[in-house]
Amino acid sequence: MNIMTTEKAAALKNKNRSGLKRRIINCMPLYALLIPAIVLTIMFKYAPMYGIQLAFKDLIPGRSITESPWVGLKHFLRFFSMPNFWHLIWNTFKVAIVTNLVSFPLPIIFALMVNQVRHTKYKKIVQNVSYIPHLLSIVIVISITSLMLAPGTGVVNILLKKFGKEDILFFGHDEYVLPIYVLTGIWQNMGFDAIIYIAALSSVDQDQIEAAKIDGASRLKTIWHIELPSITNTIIIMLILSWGQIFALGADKMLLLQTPLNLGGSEIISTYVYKVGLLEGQFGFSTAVDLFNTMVNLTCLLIVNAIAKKYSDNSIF
Amino acid sequence: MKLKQRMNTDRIFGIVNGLILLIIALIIVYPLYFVLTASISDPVYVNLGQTILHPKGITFSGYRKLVEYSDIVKGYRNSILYTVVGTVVNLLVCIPTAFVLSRKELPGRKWISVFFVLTMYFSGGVVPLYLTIRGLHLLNSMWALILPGALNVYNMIVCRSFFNNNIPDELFESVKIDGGGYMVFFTRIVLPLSKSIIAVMVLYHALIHWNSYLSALYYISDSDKYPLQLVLRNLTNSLNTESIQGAANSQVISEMQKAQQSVRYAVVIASSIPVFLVYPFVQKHFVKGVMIGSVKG
Repeated sequence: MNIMTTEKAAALKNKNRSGLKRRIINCMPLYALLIPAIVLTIMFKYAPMYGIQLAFKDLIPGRSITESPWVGLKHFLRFFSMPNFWHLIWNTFKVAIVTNLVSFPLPIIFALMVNQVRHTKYKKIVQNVSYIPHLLSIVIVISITSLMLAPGTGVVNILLKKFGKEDILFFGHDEYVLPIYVLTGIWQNMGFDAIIYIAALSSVDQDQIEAAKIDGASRLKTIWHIELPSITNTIIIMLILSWGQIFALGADKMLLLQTPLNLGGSEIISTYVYKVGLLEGQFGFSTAVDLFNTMVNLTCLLIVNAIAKKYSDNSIF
Repeated sequence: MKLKQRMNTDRIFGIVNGLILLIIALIIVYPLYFVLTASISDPVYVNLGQTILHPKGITFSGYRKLVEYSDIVKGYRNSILYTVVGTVVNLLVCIPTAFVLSRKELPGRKWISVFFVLTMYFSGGVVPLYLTIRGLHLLNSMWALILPGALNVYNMIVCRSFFNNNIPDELFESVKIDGGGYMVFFTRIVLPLSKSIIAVMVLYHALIHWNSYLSALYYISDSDKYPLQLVLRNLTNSLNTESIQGAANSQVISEMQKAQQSVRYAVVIASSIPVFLVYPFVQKHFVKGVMIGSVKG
């Protein structure tokens, strides 16, 4: 019997192997369709990864990356011993963590509130209004913000004046960078981020809510005991995703908020990389700084993923 | 008695909830309303702060000046070109890739997925990509804005989930019986069945192109090729810097700055118009995209 099964297994394996060959041949048209995506990904994603070695090299003008000499950890050591190293790290962490902490729960609360509205049309209107800002570009969002905060003509300063206060130069002080960054983010994304929770809430068992009501549960109680638990999974997934990307803070928004006067609050790693890399041309050094940021982010992603795997059924990979 | 009381508190809850949502909606709309009223009001009243609730001394001079601003007109034209070409390239890359990766019989499917998904979490960084683009002689070319992001992996996954969940395998079996292969299946069956996801993909990719400025800041130095968002960014940056300098020198804002400011209101509205024009048509798809994406394939 045993022999039979091993023979069978061998035969099956053989068949599988020739089957695999046939399957590959059958799938040739599919592989052909993948060519553009693979070529572009190699050219613009994997080829630049080869360039990461710049972090350990000094690029000599006129020579290729491969030909340039190795300098070991020189760029990293320079970065770590920079007088404003801790300042840069602190700013980046502060912006990343505060943004995440403040803007994560709001879409959930907003979704729970929207879900409570019985009047379907009103619900639709509120929802549709809430994701308008998401369609606007970050440039427009910051333009609107700067017009609203402009000294003399912006609505915020006009109101301040009405209350007998002095004009505030919002773009001229370090301490306003973070509030502006966080609040504009909420304005732009809260409604859009709520979509996924609203969708999850729509599948809540209505019978259960009715039963709870008959048993005398108030609406707040049904929210707390039925609706919120039913979207816990979605919340966890979104939490993992957002913490996994937390330090991948792009330069796009911060560069718009930056003025010469608020650099103390608005200089983060990505804006610094842009400045020393593309504006000043210190390719090796800025690649090192960038790589440092990527590694921190990747570490965070792996930790978050490991925690998620251990304590829930969800993980990114 | 108790039931009645509870129904009352529930009703109050509903009203309070509705009111808070109303306030939230107003807060969301107000910044746009503020810019809109300022853009069609006489700059004199705008600067006096009298237009924060309603327009005053209606004029379209801001918009007229906008048209005279050759940078903005050029930016507009460039942005339309980049958005159209960019979106077409995105679709040509994204949809076939998503289709292929949705075929479970494909040998090596998992590894090919990993090959793409890895790039979402790890990248060469700003300078290596810049050097790559420079090496390909794409600096100052529209392709520097289009090719590096031609495959948006996240959108591709959304699209793949759609194919996974909406294209039954039996369809391919029946195509095979009729003597057709993958190409026939893809072009004659899958694409016509996927109009809704294609609409979502057009929307998502077009929005990315229309709204982006950072890659133009990195790779385009010829101001004739600036997309609208970069032109706008330069205007806004100079506003912020000017207002700081203006305040440092004196509290008075110069006449020239005032005139420029009215253009700024107009330009915000004008550059958002295309987005708002398509919004009512695509709003439904927008939400649908999120829902498909949330069902992890």
